[in-house]
Amino acid sequence: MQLDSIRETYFAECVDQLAELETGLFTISSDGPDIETVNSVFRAVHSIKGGAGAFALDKLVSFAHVFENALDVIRNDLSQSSESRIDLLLRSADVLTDIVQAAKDDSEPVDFTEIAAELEKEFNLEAEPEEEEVAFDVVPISLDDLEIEVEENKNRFEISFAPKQELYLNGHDPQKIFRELMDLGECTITPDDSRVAGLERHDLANDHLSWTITLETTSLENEVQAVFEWVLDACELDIKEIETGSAADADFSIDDFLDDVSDLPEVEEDDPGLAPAPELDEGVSAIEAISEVAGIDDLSSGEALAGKPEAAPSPKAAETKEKPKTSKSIRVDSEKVDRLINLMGEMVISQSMLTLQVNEAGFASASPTGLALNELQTLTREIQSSVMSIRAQPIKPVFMRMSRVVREVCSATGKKAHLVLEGEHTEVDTTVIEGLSDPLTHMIRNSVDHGIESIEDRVAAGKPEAGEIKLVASHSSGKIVIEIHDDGGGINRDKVLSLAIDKGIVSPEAKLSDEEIDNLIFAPGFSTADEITDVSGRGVGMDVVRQSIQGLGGRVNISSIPGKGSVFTMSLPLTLAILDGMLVKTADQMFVIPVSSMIETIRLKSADVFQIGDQHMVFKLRNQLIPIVDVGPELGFADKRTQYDEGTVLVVESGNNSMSAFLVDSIVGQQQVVIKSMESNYARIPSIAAATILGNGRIALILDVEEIVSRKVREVPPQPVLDEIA
Amino acid sequence: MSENNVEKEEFIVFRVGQQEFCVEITMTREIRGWTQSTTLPHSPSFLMGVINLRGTILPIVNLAKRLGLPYEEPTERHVIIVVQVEDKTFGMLVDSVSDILDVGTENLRSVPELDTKIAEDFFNRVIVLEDRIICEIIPDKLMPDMESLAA
Repeated sequence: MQLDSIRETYFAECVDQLAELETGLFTISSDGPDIETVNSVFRAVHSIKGGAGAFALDKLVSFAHVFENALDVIRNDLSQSSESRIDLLLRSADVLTDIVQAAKDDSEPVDFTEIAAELEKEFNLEAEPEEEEVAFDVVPISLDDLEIEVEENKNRFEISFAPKQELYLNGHDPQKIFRELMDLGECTITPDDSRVAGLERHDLANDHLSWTITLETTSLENEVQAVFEWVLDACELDIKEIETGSAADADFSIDDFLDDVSDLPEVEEDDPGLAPAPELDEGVSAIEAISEVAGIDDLSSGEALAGKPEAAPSPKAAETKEKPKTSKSIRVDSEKVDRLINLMGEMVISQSMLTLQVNEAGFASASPTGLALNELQTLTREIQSSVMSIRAQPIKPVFMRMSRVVREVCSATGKKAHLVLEGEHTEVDTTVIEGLSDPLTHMIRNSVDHGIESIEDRVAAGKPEAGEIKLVASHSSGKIVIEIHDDGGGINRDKVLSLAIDKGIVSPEAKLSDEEIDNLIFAPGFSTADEITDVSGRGVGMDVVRQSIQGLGGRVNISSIPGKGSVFTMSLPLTLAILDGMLVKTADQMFVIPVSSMIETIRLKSADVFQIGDQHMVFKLRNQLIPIVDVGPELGFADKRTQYDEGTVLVVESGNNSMSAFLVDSIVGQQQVVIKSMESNYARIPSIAAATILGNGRIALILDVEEIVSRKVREVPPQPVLDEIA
Repeated sequence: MSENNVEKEEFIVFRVGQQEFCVEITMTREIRGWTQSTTLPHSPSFLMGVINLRGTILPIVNLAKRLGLPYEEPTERHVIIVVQVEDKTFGMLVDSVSDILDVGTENLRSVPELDTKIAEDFFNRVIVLEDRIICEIIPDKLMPDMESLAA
């Protein structure tokens, strides 16, 4: 049970680490390598490997190990980074993601031998790290010098090392550090027990051993320092280089030291006698596992655990070592946040009920009651916005996933493209982010598959070989706007139009503007690809994308310049929990119509209403005829109107750019409403998108404009094509 | 005797018109007074509509209508019994709650074979006491079939 939850945490952390990894590699590929990014990437892989070891996920460990070694090459020498190598690393990151996923699901692990071999080959991992540096050095002569130097120059260091309590609490073990030091060269380790009181007065928190270590090594000072890299914050460390001379006092081996420690009086007899704080000893391995799992990445012992010494971290790595970040974020079950948001909605409702009551009771707004109520209102609003901000997340993770999509489509189609992100820190409600992933994936695929031309065509058109897909996110008037730019061929309007005519989507006589033709690709059943490719799906085209965007309460449009590329623009609400609604009354019931779908409101005059055929009514608005949807009868709550002189018309636009005139008795007002699902206790009801609770505690239904319109359209026999596209 | 104590089940008994019905007490969540409901379009007539139960949308089944009994317009004296079936919660509109009963197996009978579809569909067992009989409702069956509704 316990292990399960730790395991769960590990995989949750993996997701973060993988995101870190991908972000890092992405930054390297776009901005070039810098040591901090490389380090963070390395740490991410290292942490994944470490945790995987704790859960005996062997496949994961072995791939992560190869990955880590490859990264180490770059970490040791940034000039080793190249475009093809980074690309390989990115692909490896994809594979790593798959392996982690497989491990999490306990499913058949992905076969990674191929990519692992590729990594080994590309980064010459068979070779010893030192030799490898040699192999890549362009000046062979200096190498010999270097080797000679390495052979002859032995440095001597005197290291004083006094761990603080954190070091043990974080699961580090001085013994492992000593082993690493011993791998560097001859070591003499002298414990200093002056700060350790006897057993009877032992204070676990403060009494620790410290050590003086003399090290004779070919390594440089910063390499020695690198051994302590992960524990720097948790110890007092002083490394002094001393003149090379004979190691006169080097008569103390680690074995002696270990014996020594076990002889110390405060150590319990049955303890093997390693750790200065014996009580911690048993816990150490457990703590190690946990701290790996918990993503504490300052753990050097992972390498020591792996058995043989890794290449000593390079000077560069040591120079810019980062302090372990103390994260101020907490991990909360999203259900708890949802519950909070629900309660917040309740509070908003109760508060408006209270306001109603207080006003009815005749309290003046300046009276103590009125003032207190005012205060409550302010608080409610503030709580509402902070609660909503809890769920707001940067859109970045979704964007990052798209870079994988681009890579996969590129390798499937033989095209070249790279992804550029802008505004990826824009925050959106998580519900929107979740819903966005699928349509975005589809659109990106589409952009690479259909938008970006083949390499030959691009070269012929004088463009760079690799296409560019740019994802831009921004806030704009209470919405989030996401744009997908590609610098491909743009939309072939003649082809789109003829295809649309072939498929009967538009009539041959219809005169369409360029923009209208572009937007035809969203029409149901439309697909421009000559053949259906694996990449962009089978027949489910952009209409599905448009539907899912509309399902999120958003809109999507395309604009295109032939030869230059296309831009898809999506605008989405910032949250799916609250909606800007127009409260209307008809058939003695209140309904909410999403403001996002409304264009204008007009007072109903019978002179503007005309009958077409036996029962279809249309509304004339500035020389345009708009079909009327009378909301009351449409929902079965009222009989058909006989008089069209009282009431209000709401002109609404549904997804396929067609307009409808919704007829209601009166408009009550515009307000933000909290969206409540009908499905949770009942079922989806035709024509109704969701429900909300009004200030008086009653429930109002939110109309599904899209569905009402399409239902209406289906009932109607094929209409003559108007100026609008169907 | 002690055997019977172990076997006892607890029911909440309520009145619809002249008859008494009951549900297992473990299925009920709460009992509350009637509040005005919001009618749903395209829904069966026995579904009164939905009410706000502390922020959740709670569908209400008019039990009298559902069982084909005569019914009157609900007033403030009517009662909603909130029941939970799996992960769905809904309310049953009844006239009043009359009793909470501990019933031993010796008083529980299976539903007699009747010539009515309703008995077969909605009743699980019958509690037979000295001077009254109480039909046990199967709440699962009260709500409209979700699939046919979506069609």
